Amino acid sequence: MRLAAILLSLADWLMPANRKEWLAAMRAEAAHLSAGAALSWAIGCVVSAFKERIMLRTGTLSVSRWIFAFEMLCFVPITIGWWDALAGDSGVILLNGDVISRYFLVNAHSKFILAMMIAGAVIGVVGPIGLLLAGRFILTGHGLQSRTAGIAMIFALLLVGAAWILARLVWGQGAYAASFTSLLLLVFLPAAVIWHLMALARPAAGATQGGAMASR
Amino acid sequence: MDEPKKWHHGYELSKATELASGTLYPILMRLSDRGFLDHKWVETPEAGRPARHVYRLTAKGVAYANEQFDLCDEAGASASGTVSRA
Repeated sequence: MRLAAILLSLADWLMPANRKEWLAAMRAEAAHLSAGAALSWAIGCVVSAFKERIMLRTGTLSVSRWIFAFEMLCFVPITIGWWDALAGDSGVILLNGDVISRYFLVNAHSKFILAMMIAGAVIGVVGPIGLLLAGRFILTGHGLQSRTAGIAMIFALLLVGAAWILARLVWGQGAYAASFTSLLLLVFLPAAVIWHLMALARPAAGATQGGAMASR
Repeated sequence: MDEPKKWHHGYELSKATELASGTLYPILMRLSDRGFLDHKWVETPEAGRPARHVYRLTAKGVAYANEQFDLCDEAGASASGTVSRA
């Protein structure tokens, strides 16, 4: 119950002021539940409060298709990076066993760089996929329906960002070490636009929620 | 929908709709914002427990839900018609 109480306090902190009555309703409901049910209920309170906080900041997240064209540009740097990692002067398709063993299996740092080159060629495909998805939204108004695909792409980008930060901490500045610009252009902005595309795929509020609530 | 005038508390709705609280309550908030949902606090007979927030669809909410059900029925009928014609 203590953990549930902590989570409810967190939810209280997150919930916007105009929704406090709803949080009070959720808190009151938790007081009527068993310890196990109250804990999962409290997690839901945090999720609800977080959603409301996000909605408060972003409104409906809807945006004109043509204004979205500017957001689409966020996929350009990662697409260029992906192409470079794949087929550039030092792209992975030019690597062979001799080059790998001579230059990339020397020490931990060189192995890390090899891993990042491969990751860039694989995970960087988020760039062209993002361009296609953004282009589709502009032409048809359809967002990213698959939450699994969206979350996987965001997770992959954040994983790469985490590896770059780790490299910066371990080896200092150098290849694939995180910098503000690289994290912004190649991780956070593409991840944010993917998240936006997922949000744009949600049906308009009220169009389906009435049906979800009312079962007969 | 079987008993549109009956009030239900959140946990009951969560069980009936199989929606977790983190999904259910944002929906309840939106429904309330659009005038589809009434809510009020009711005292509970259990000593030492706080009052509960209870909910029911408004007349507008019931009408909207019925409209949506009709649309679903029509879509289902036309889909099955398409299948049977094929």
